[in-house]
Parts: sequence; structure tokens; C-alpha cells
Amino acid sequence: MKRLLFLVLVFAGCGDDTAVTDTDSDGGTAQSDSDTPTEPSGSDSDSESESSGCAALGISCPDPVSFECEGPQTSVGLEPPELACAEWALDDDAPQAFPVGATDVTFTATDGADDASCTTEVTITDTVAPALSCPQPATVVRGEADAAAVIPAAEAVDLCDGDVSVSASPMALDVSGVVTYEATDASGNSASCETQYTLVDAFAVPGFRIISARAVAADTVVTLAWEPPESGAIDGLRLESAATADGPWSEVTTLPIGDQLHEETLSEDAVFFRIVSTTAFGDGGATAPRQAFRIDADGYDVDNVDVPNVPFDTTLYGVVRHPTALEQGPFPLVVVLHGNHGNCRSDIDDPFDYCVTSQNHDCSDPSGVTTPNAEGYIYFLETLAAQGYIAVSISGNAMNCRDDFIFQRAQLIAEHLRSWSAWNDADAGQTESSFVGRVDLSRVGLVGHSRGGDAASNVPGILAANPIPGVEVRSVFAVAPTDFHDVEVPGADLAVLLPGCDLDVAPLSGMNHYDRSTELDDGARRAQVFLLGANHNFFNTQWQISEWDLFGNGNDPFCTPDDDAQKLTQTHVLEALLGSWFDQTLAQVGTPEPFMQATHSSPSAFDAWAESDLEMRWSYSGGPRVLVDDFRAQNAPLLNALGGTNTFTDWFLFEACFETNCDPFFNHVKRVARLLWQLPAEPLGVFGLEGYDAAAQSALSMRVVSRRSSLNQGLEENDFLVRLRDGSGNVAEVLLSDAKTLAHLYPHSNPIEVLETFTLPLDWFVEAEPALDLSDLQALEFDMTATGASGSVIVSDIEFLG
Amino acid sequence: MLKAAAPHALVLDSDAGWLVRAVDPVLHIGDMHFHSYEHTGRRTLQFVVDKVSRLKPGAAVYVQYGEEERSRIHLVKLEKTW
Repeated sequence: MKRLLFLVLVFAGCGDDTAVTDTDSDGGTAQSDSDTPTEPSGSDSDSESESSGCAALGISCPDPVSFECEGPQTSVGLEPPELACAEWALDDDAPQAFPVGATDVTFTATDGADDASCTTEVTITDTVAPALSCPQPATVVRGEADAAAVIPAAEAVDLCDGDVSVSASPMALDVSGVVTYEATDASGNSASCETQYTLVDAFAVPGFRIISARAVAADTVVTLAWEPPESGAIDGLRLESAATADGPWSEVTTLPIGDQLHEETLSEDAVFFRIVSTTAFGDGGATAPRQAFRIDADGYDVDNVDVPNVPFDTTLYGVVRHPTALEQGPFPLVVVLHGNHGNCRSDIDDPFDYCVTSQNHDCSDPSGVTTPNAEGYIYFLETLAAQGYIAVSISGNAMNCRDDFIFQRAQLIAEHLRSWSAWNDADAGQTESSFVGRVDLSRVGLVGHSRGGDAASNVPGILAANPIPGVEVRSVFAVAPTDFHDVEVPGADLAVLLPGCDLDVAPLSGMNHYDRSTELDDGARRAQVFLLGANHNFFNTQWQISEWDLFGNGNDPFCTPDDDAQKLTQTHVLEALLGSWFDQTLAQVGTPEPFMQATHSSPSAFDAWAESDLEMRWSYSGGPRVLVDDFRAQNAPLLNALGGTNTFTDWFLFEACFETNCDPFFNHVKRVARLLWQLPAEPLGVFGLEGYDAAAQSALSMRVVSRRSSLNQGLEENDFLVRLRDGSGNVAEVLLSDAKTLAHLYPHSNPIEVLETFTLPLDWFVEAEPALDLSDLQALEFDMTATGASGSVIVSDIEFLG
Repeated sequence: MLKAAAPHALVLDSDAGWLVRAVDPVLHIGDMHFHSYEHTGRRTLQFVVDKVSRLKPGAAVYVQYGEEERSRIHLVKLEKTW
């Protein structure tokens, strides 16, 4: 084994960072600190060095050196080490260029037999901050109310590190302001700058929807609708389409900023649309995408079907509209039933229909043709189909022209649902059905008109007693329904449309569907819309003569507008309402739009589409609620549902009453409070709340109508103050009209009293009196001095909403 | 025209035909009213009339739709012919 040699020479000036290492031929190293002298030993190596004429092998490195960086890598010139003998070979491991930081460079000297080395530390320093360039002051666009605007990025470059990341504070903006950018290089050198930004809001237009669709020859033309932009910064709208909801999106066209409707012919079986708000400063928000489907027509006509409760075999006849792309299903099913109407007409273009009792769909009068009652709703079948429903309008011709037959009509609907269940069932061998697996029967909606509406409202109760496996009716929309059998609608969402000029169901009996169903407290959502000016017949395009012309016995000037215009208005508003209602109660699990909850006015796009200034008065019941008073308590109106005592002072009359016992023009089947006051009285109604904790509630809600009373003579609007009083005596008051106008009745020669919902957010009370303690409410007060006039209202369903 | 078509049926003819409404026609004879009906022809409305013996000669006869008094269609006074 070779002996390890140590030859450590000490040179003046060598610092602590310099070391000398001897290496033997085996590559082993030994090192000693340069400031630790070592006596030379009488080794062979010494003898060899001396014999070559140079001093013993030795090397002395330069002192540590430092340079400022010139880039990511810095070239430096190093002084060579001192060698005792110039003949010795010298080598080093210095790189071509040095990174920032400390790098040891090792120098090695060799005499051909042995070598010695030392190291020098080379340090590249970075003392200069990055070069940071801030964006110029600019305007940035916020696209969503609950999101901040993204601000432009700044760039920073450091001589040593290259690109350096830049932080911004704040990272996004929800108000105009200054953003501070900061960049710090790897050596900790920082630079910062500021930019002033002006924020503009350019949210997506609200209320984007497919409001209508029509099959035109082989094409499907959809009408898109939206509400006006809410920001003046929006100077354009861009309609985009895509094959999937995630895009990629491509521009279809730009939409004039003042428009709210746009027709588009579908280029594919299914197309997503959205509208992007644009500004001079960039794009704003985009609407949620809406999918539109190309429509196909279908139908069925099955004879001799035994329908429960129907005393004869009859026809299952249906007019179907569905998305062409059935493979994209399964789609919810909407079944529609018309009302009692003639089942025959002299010829197909004759607007006068007559009855000849029949046991099937076809007119049984040899001199007549069949009235296409079911076809009268094709317009909204097409709209629903384009929105992604399979929609079928069934014939009730065999149920028409008979006494009552409401339950038979309901059973007819159920029988159609059984058939659809079979046509949808792959295991039932329905090889000829194109709907196998395409129908989502767990999401069934019903629409009924007149007696058809009565029947539709009866179906959920019938199916609750006799379910059809796999079939769930989730939503019912009853248009001008009769109410022959005191129906209530359990376990399904219910909307009822009451036409303000309905002369056929003049008592507006549909309000009873709503009133009874809201008392079920089963969690379902209920809405009632009182549509002023609408008549009974014009929701069905085959019912071509207004009831005012058929049996009006003297026209009501408020209810006999131009027929064609009225037909357009009623059909257009109905398809718009159905689309909105089923979107939230059938297509998805949501909440009806705010206008259906009576908290906002109806979309102005509805007016545009209906070509009319629509007036709709809504009642709504849904979601968690705590009843204050519905005047059903035994001692009503002196005791309320919370157990509190009510007091009424200085009234002309106050009473709890029911239906027409209240007055001849009040048909609601519900208990209410009838309140009358006469100047110069200062009437006050106080509902004891017993310290009720409403801190977790969001609003106070009630249903009100201004009565057909001589005390309201000449009145256009009614109003009163609503107060909350807490246990500490703090009082907050708001006007009922802060929620919306309480119009006095409506244009009609014989108006009746229709309740509508008013919702007052509790925030309004807290804003009025910040000290109000919602957790300790002692009283709710109605003060009728607001109008400075005598008056009378009916109030009910006073509730705190969750 | 009012005629007895069967022991317990009354057929009402109208040249103008009969209205078809959401609410049903009800035949009133005096203080009695009859709800069961059929449109047996384009211009004929047939009511099933029971308790014939209680019908009183000279009673007013009219058809009314639902509860609407203003919808009344007055017919001839009843002459007891059966």
C-alpha cells in the first residue's frame, strides 16, 4: 500500500477560505488548514521534488473574490494561484461563467507524479432590484357582481434572475383604486410601483332565456330573450354559440343594445347560446348558457282504451313535440290537457265549435269535423321541446260535452302517463317506440286549461293514492282552472294562472287550488298569477272566439281588446311563464324566478314578447316560513298563530271572515282579516309577537288586496305602514308600497278581490331603525294613516320567511 | 222548444246550438235543478230529469251555466205532459 503524503505549504496571506490538499496516486485526499503549519517530513516525495530543482509541491490560491452579476451567469477573470515552481502543471474546475452565489473553484497543481490543490471561493452578488414596469392607468371590467375584476399583470426583469414574478395588492378589484405591484428577486432585492384603476361593472344581462320556439318547415327558430344591461358601460352584446356548455364559443352575431329579443334558426340539433356583455374596455360577464334543441313532431292515436272511472272505452290521442336529439335525453315529460269545449266544427276553418257527445277523440257528428283542441297548444309544446322537454298535448274530446268529468279527465291524464311509462320501458318490448329510455318520468309536469287545469291539479292526489311505478308528477301549471271538487295539490309544485278578464270561470276558481294547497305545508312551492286583461279562451289557439263575444251580453270595455293582439299577448305570455316555471320546478331543482316569488316585477322581455305592458300580480308560498297569522285561530282575529294577542283600535270594522262571508267579491277559500277604516280615525292593528326571535328570518310577508268597498272610492292605490316593535321599545316602520304598489282592484266592469303577496325584507326594518332587536320582537303593527284617506283591505298569510 | 224525449229525459233544441263552457249547463225547473246532461246532437241538449212527480206545472224553465244568474237562457214554462 502506498504511503499517504502530506505536503502542506504555508504562504503568507492565505486566508481561512483557502486550503491546500495533497492527493496521493490513489486519489485519496488530505487537507490541512493553511494556518496550521506542518513540518515537512523526510519523505520520498520530498526527495523527488528536491531532485527536480523546485521547491516541494505547493500551491497557494487567491483570496476569495466577489463580483456583481452581469446576467444569469457571470464570467469572471480569476487570478491564478501562486506556484512554487513554474514548471508545475496547473488545472482548475472553474466554470465558464458563475451563477449568483458562492462557488468554490479548485486549483490543482501537479508535477507529474503528485498533485496539490487549493480552492478559492468566487461569489457573484446581486444588489440591484428587478426592473419593474407597471401597467398604465386603465379601466378594468368586472363581469360578475360576486367576483372581482381581474387586473392586468405587471412585468419584472432582473439582471441576474431574468423574469421575476410580480405580486399585486389587491390581486383583483371590486372598487376603483390603486394596485401596488411588487417584484423581488432571488437575492431579496425588491421593486414596487402603483397603478390607478377605474372599475366598471359590465355584468351579464339578466333573464337570458329561450322564450319561444317554432318549427318553421324543417327548421327550428328560437326566440332568445333577455333583460336590458344594468350598466351604462356596456356598449354591446355578443351572442355566442357552442356545441357544449363549456365551449369553445364562437360569435353568432352582435345584438343591438336596446333589443331584448332575437330570433335564431338552429344550425344543429342542439346548440348552446350565451350573451357576452362588451365594453370599450373589454368583455364583461357572460350569461349562463342556455341549450336550445331542434324540434321534431310526433303523435299517437290509440283506440278503445279502458281508462279507470271512464264508463266507456276511449281514445288516447296525443300531439307530441320533442327534441330531435332524443339521444341526449332522457328529457322531462310535460303533459297538457285542454278544457271543456266543442268537439266538432262544421269545417276545419270554422271558428265556431259545437258539442256532440262522443266516446273518442273524433267528432261523432257526420256533418262535422273534429275540433283540434289538443293542437291549440302546439305553440308552447314547441317552446318546451326546444327547451329540452318532451311535451304532449292530449285530447279530452271524449270527456268534453259531459257533465263535470273532472276526475275522468284526471284519470285520462294518468292513463297517458302509464302509456308513456310503457313506451319508455326497454323491458316492455316497445321496439317501435323511439322514446325508449328517452323520457325522464321521474320529472313529469302537467299543464291544464280550464277543466283540464282542474283535472291536472287532481292528478297528484290520484297518483298519491295509486302510484304509477317510476312516474312522479313534480309540477302542475293550471291555466284558468275550474274547481269542481275542492281540489288540493299535495306534494307537487303548483302554479295557477287567473285571467283578469275570465268570463267563463268568472269567480277565478283557480285561486282555490292555490289557497288550499298552501295550507298543506308539504314543502312544495306554490305560485298564483293574476294576469290582468287576459280572457279565458285565447290561451288555446283553436278557441278562436273570446267568451266575451260568445256570451258576454255586452262587452266589458276593459276585456275586449283587438282579438288578434290579445291572442298574441296571451299565447306569448303563457309560453314565457311555462318556460320559467318548469325550468325551476322540473328541469332543475331551483327556486322560481323572483318575479314568480312576488318580490320583483316580471321580466320586461315578457312585455316585449307579448307586445303588451303586462300586469301580473303574484302570490307565492315556498320555502321555510313561520306563520304569524292566517286568522284561523279559534279567537281570530284577537289571537294569532304565534299565540300572541291582537288588538285593533280605532277601526270602522275589523273581523276575521271566510270567502264570500267577507264580501260578495271575495272568493278566496281562506280565512282573512277584513279591515275598514274611516277618517279621521287613526286605525292601528297590533299583532302580539311574544318576543319572537326573527333574527334568522329574512323577510316579513303577507297577502293583501284593496277591497271593492265604498271606503276605497276613487282610490287608485292603497297603502299602509308596517311596523316592528322590539322588547326595548325600538320601532321600525316601512311602507307596504316600498315592496310594490298595492293597486286598488283592476280595470274591469265587475272586478273581484284577488290577494297578492307583499314581501318586506327585515333588512329594511333594521335600516329604518338600526337598534331594532330582531331577536326580541314584541309586536307587528299595521297603521292605516299612510294614505290620509278612508279605506279597506283584506289581509292574510302574515309570515316570517326563512 | 221543450219536449219529453223519454220518461226521464228532456231534450232542449236550439237553432243556434248550445254554448260549451268551462262550467256546466244546469236545467232549472222551478226550484229544482238537473245537472246530468248530454249533447245528443249539434243543436240538442238532453238533461236527465228525475223526481218528475215533483215538477210543478207553470214552473219557470231555464238553463243556467254554473252559478251565474246572468247566463240564464229562459225557456217556455213547463206544461206537465207526462
